[in-house]
Amino acid sequence: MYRINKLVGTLLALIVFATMFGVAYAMWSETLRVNVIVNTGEVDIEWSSVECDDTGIDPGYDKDVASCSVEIIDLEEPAAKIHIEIDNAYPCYTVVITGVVDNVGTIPVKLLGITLDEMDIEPCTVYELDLDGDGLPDLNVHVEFVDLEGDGTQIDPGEADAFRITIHVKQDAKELATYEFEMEFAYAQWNED
Amino acid sequence: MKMSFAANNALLKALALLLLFIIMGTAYAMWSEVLKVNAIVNTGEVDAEIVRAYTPDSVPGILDYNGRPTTWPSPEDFVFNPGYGWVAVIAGDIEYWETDKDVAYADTWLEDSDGDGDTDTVYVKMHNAYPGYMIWLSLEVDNVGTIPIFIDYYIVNGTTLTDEQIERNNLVFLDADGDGNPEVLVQLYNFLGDQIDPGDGLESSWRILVLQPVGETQEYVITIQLIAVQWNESIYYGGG
Repeated sequence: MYRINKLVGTLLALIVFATMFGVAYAMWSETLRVNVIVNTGEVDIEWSSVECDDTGIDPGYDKDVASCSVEIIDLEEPAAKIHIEIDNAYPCYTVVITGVVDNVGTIPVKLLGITLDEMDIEPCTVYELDLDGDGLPDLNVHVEFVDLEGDGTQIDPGEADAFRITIHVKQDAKELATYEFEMEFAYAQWNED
Repeated sequence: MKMSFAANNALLKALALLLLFIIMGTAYAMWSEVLKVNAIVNTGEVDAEIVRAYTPDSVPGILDYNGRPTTWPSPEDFVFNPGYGWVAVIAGDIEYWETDKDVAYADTWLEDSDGDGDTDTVYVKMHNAYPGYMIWLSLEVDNVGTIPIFIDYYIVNGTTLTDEQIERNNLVFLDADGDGNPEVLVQLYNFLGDQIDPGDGLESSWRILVLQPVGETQEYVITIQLIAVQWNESIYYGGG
């Protein structure tokens, strides 16, 4: 009797299972897919040329007394850094460094800011630098952009922007002194606030 | 008398034979008719197709739109889906505006992935994308089968989203590298729970936004599945 009950029970379980299985298969479905692929571009700038206008005779004079050297430092960040060194300068000595920044990436960039020895500075403003800390300014620095596109400091891919840095040695500069400073130009994608 | 007996015997045999013929004749005379029921069940088909996919910024030369989300997910909002990365679904919206530049673009194409003659997959590819770039994806799904259907749920990079969840939260943030900073955002248009009869369709417009943490020269892939089921098995049928 127990065996019969067990057999009946097993059969019933099988029927229930088969019914459930049948219902599961009975839900017809269709899957639609939306595949989104995002390929990002690149912000990349580089110096294409940097030069100093003192290539011999001191600018504005008739003698070759002082000299100026410019070094480009390439950083991983989207920034361009230059190192300027002036030797044997004297009061009223003035040089102009002209540089061209190329956008070699695929995204338009704009200038986020300029720092001079980690101090934020504004273009078209004359800054007086007291590099020896004696309370008297040693140099004047002035930065202006020579816009090649006509819209200020924004550079589209394949385009370039130029700038001028004017350095003027002041009367309070000391003899046999070395004045060194660094400027950094940081660029970012154009749509950043 | 002998002859008479023989005649009787022959007569008896003839009678027996006649009786046999009568019996057999009766059997042959039982006419019959067979009635048949032939049941033929022709089943219908659940079949949906993406008949149109479109982005307004589909070719170079069109000004870009930029956007930003009004909210940002916290680390505990993210769920890890093996093979896809991290997904966070939260409530919010996207602010957007037109820019004055054409930098990126996004084209679309349709594909019949299972070879049944219907285009069931749409690809959306953003080219030269950057943080802030936003597109609209316009999508039309038609019922090309013979059975009414519902889109029951979405599966976005492994995360299943139903109507109730989409009503509540429709911003899906995708963090491919698991650093807690999502790279891409999809704002889903909700057409879950709307019945699509054979021959009818539904149209929607989704937004896809590239977020600030996105890396340069990278490729991110998002897979969104739309699961369509026969109407009477849908979770939305009869009020769900």
